[in-house]
Amino acid sequence: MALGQPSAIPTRGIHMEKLGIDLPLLLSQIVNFSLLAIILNAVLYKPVLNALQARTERIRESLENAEKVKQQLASAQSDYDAKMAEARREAQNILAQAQERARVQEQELVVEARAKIERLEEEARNKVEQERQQVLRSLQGELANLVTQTASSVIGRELQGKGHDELIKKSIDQLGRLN
Amino acid sequence: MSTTRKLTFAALAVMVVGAVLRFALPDYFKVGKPLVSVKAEELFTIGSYRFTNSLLLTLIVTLVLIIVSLIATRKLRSGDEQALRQPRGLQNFMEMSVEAIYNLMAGGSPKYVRRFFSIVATIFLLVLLSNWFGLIPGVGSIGICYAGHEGAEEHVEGAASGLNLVAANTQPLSDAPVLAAEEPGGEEANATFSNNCPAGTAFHPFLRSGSADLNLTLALALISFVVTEFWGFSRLGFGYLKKFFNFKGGAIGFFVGLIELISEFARIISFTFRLFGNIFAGEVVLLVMAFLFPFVLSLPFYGLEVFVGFIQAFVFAMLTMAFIDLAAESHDDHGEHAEHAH
Repeated sequence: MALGQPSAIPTRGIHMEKLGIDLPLLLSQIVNFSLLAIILNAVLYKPVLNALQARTERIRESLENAEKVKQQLASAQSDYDAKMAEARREAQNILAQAQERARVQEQELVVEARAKIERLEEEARNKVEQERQQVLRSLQGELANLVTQTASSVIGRELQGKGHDELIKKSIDQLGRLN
Repeated sequence: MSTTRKLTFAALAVMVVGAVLRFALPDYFKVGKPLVSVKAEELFTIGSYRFTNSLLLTLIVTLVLIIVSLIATRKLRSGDEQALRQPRGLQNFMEMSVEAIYNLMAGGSPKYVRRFFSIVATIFLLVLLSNWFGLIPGVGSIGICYAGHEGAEEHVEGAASGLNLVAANTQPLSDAPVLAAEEPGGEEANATFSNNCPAGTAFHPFLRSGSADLNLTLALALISFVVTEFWGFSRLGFGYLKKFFNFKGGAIGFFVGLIELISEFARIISFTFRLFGNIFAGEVVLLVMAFLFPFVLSLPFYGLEVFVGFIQAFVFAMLTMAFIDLAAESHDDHGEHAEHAH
């Protein structure tokens, strides 16, 4: 290679020149690069990186929100379940109480009714008995009279004395037994 | 018919028409002997300022980057909620690219990514586009016959162009390409210029990849170096120098410090020549392959160069980020950490 030959490198300056390195061109490239870096930073890197960051932020927020909503939903669900269970339990209680009360009342009613029936029956029986007695008594009276009259008329004479009374009584007793 | 297929047919049509014209009208469509020059060729001069083709392409790349960015982030910058919510088209593409670069950088050194993102990402984009623009057909092959200023003749006479590769399809294949290293003042120098250009003029392509010019690669290397050293000083103060002038660690420590110092500066050179060498060599490979096998067979090398262009941009940016990260690391910290670990 020409570069390796001593005669081709008289001075350092020419050496660089052979490689095409030129201070004004080098400076132009440095300036060009610096300007490009500054401009691209303003019009490309910053907007894009900001957008990417904003997007990442937004996604993170969305995920967090979703997680929050999920938790809220779960807690609402469990809340609902708990309330439902409680309501069901309460309903069961109320129902049971009502049933219990109804049973008690029913029993009371039955007892009461039975008592009332018995009382009524008793009363009725008593009444009937009284009436029977009354009827019997009046019948006895009337029968005595009737028997006396009939006997008087049949015999044609008036029955007198103690023996008559005993006879009458005996007849009535027999009637009563027949009755 | 899909767009890709249409483009493929259009490209094939251009190739066929070009080949036909080349043989039908040889006087008008001449293929000259290509010249490979390490130096970027000048297009015009303003005083002593040489405006070169690589600077022109770098400026084009710069403009393209700025315009594309302006268009892509127009809606984002105006605070369009819809664009923020739902990126599409160019905006989506640029967002994807920036995010990819950011994630790659964050993978290596998450602490200082945002602070140096602007520099490292710009290095990546500028180098990547410079590399890839250099591969566009026409770049490096369409140009002018440059009569030049006073220097042009001297360059020829003094063989200042150094390394020249001459490949001519008019010569038998066995003779081309010829790697010719000229003697200073050698008479061959005249013959190395394109035979299409009149005597005394030289073929200068309009465009040349910025990365195939040491001015761009050295500029980026210097920026990378300055940023790294600046960051080291701003983080550690003058303690940063302890890394290089180590008097505590005895003789071995002192020498290790010196080696660190040398390697610190050697980085400039390795940065400069790694990128330049890869891209420049890639162009030479493409040129040689195109002259050896005009059709089809040079295509795999095209694919290779696209890959190399990406890798070199990636390497430049990532190494810069890694060195920035290293510079902020104090040597004392290291010792303490190690002790804590024990």
